[in-house]
Amino acid sequence: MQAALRSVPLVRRGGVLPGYGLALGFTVLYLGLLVLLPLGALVLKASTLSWEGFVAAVTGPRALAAYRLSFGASLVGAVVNAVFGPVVAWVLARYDFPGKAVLDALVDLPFALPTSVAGIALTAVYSQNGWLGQHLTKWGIQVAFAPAGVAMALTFVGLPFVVRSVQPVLEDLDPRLEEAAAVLGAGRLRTVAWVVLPALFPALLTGFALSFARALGEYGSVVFISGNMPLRTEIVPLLIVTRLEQYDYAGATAIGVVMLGASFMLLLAINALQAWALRGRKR
Amino acid sequence: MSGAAMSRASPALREPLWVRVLLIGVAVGFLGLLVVVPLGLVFHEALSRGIGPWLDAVRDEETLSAIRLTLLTACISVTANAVFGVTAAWLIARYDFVGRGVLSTLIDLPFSVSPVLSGLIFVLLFGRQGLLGPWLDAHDVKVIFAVPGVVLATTFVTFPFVAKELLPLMQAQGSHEEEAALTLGANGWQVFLGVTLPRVKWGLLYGIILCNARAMGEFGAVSVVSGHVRGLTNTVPLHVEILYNEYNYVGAFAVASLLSLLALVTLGVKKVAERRQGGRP
Amino acid sequence: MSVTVEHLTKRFAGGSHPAAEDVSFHAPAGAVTALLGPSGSGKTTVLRAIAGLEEADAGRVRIGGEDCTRVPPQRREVGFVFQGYALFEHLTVRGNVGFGLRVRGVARKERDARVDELLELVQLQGYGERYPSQLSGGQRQRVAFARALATRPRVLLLDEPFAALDTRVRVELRAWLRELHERTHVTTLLVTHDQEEALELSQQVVVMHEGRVRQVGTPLDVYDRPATPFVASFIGNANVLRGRVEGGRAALGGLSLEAPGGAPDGARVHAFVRPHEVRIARAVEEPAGVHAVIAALTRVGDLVKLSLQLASRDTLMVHMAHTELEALGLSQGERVSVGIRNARLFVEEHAG
Repeated sequence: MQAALRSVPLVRRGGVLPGYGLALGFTVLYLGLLVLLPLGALVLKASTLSWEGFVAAVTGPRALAAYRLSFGASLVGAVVNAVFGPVVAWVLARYDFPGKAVLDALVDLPFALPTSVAGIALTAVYSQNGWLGQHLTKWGIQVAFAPAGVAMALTFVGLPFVVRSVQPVLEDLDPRLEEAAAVLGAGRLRTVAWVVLPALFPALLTGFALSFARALGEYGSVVFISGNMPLRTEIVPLLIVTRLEQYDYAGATAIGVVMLGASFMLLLAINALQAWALRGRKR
Repeated sequence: MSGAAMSRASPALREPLWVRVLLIGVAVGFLGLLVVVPLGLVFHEALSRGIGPWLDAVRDEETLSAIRLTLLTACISVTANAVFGVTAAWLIARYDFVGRGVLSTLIDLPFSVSPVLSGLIFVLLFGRQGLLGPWLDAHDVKVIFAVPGVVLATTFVTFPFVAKELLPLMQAQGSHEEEAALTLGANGWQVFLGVTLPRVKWGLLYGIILCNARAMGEFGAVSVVSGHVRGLTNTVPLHVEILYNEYNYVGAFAVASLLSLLALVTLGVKKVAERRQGGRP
Repeated sequence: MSVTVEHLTKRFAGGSHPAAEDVSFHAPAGAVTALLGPSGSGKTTVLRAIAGLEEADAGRVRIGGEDCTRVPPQRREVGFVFQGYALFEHLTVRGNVGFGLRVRGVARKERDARVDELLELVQLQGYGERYPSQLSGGQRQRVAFARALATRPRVLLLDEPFAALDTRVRVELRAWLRELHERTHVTTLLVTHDQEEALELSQQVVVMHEGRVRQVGTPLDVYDRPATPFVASFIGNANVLRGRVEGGRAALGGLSLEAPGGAPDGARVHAFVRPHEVRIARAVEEPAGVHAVIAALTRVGDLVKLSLQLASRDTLMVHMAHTELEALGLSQGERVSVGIRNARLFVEEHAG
């Protein structure tokens, strides 16, 4: 984004293009009313909680178990995507084969498919008598209604992020870099490990973080497959919903603030990563 | 002599056939298990008892009212966010001002907030125990557990889509053409409608399509604010949940198949828009 | 080690003509051979085939006499400097230069010593820990050379190595490259579209056009004795005069030159005349000579470019030293007598 910014002739405030005041006014007003005011309500509500109440709400055993599951399963999902995502991106960027266009389009399905649909579909496929679940059960592997199912759903929702971060970098990678490595004596495997992967690394890390962040907040696709057993398969967003349904607004708010803090930190990290990745892509 | 196509063919960059086949197999297998099989299952289950029960489920009065609410919600939130997105992208791409970077980050904010939190904040603002709750009660306005809440939460969740698509596009294009139009005597609106919008129309369509898909499919945020009032605040994705929890699998998957079709159409239009706008967004 | 290319042919899908067609030449050991031609003439394809980056459809590549047509690039032991350098951006200068050694499993200590040696050779001592993005174009170029030379390649292949640089840096690096070659004596193939670069740096020039070799010779050969009309027009500036053979002599716009051997009367010929090979004198001093009018006169530094209009309406560009013109005391609009010191004449292939 920074590279793009630099190439734009900057029109200064009061520059030639009209409409600055109107555009700024509308943007700030809309953003303020729809985004900042409600988010402010969360912070305001949290500030009315007593410290003891807040600590009790966010460190209860159920909350701790939920953090563990949410962070753990999100991490697993992001790691799985960080392993398979580059393979998918590589195949889409480098090879031609029948059905490639369909495969390419399907990568974005988790973006486009409503999460409740993804949730019931994954549950039905991986439950004990589902298409794939019945075979896994024979091996003693339980996916649906177990932490593995949560990780599976979170892998699904995070899938497009790694692929779509890595794929453009791979497509734009100067083929001469790989040729240079080959002429210098490096075999294919070594070229990939020493030249291609380091070039992909910033984008891969960005995709990993995006995938992790998305997984952390995910709700719809998880609630069906997880079974929602407190202390075992209850994710943090579900715990917030549970608290709300019990009219425990304070508890919901407290945990919500923790989640929001985590999201903010991830957002900052992702912004920094993206800046880094872009810097790496300039020659 | 540096055409990528030519260099790609060079023997130094070619993997052995078995490696290529293996990698393609891994990619297809991964996407197959995670995406294709579940998608196939939706349609399989939806039509498992034939077309009749599928039609019954889709034409059910509760389904129809959920569809109506979803359409209404999407219509409002997509329109609002499209107007906002175009304005914000224009603002950030065309003017230089203090806080531009902050503004651009704030626009992305709803993406990084959990859908559940997106619902929660509106409950805390407009709910019975919320900041504005007592005032709303006194004036007999219902936001939470009512249609306005559903619309608000959906709009929040889909807030960045259009702006996010348009911003890089407008930045990459620069403002030379707009400046040229100005020197030819066009006024602000003429520049905007005659130059700016036509240049980004496919990007705009792409953003709107994604925004719409999310608006129609949002579950978490809407689930928190809707109260699941059947026939009143029930959107299509929520209706899928209700049917599923009632063990009405054919019904649930029938309605889910509608949403899956929407997703597939979205992906198709996205492909076309991507190609038309030229390059990746 | 010498490089021999024999009947090399390479065709790309969708190309109207082969990128390289029946290309043969021998690049002697220890010398610089330039592959010179306009863009699209196939010179880069030939270079890439020598490196093993392109598989030839037919023909052979020998390095030091050994047939390595089927040897993969990893084992050809050649150094390649890419257009645009293709440095590894995530590695430091040291990492880039040492890459080939690391691939070969050279121990760290030995590797460091060799890298130091090369950084000294390319005058980049003290830059080892920098990243390519922190270097100027000329410095990046020298890193690319050091990286290619680090493994002591049998042959150094350069693909338009100076194309991306400013004119001034380009001239500096040219001198530097000549010096470098004098120190290393590694057999070098240089692909360039810049004739000046080719003529200045190489001991042998291979002129290519539309995928074919048009002439192989020393720089002086191709300049003074171009084998084909293409070579004559591509290398150096030349006036082209058209005419016919009459009575054993070529008549070209009033000028008469010795006809090419074996050209029959009536054959169409054209002559390539270098601007500095035109001799002029004041018309009054040679009243019987061929006369022309100075239509334009431009001074570029100490060189003067004259545009002469012959009676036949042909235009003749003439270059001469400014002092020489002053001695003649000529100015625009004056009549001059014209003589040709040297010219290359070709019979047109489809005389008719």
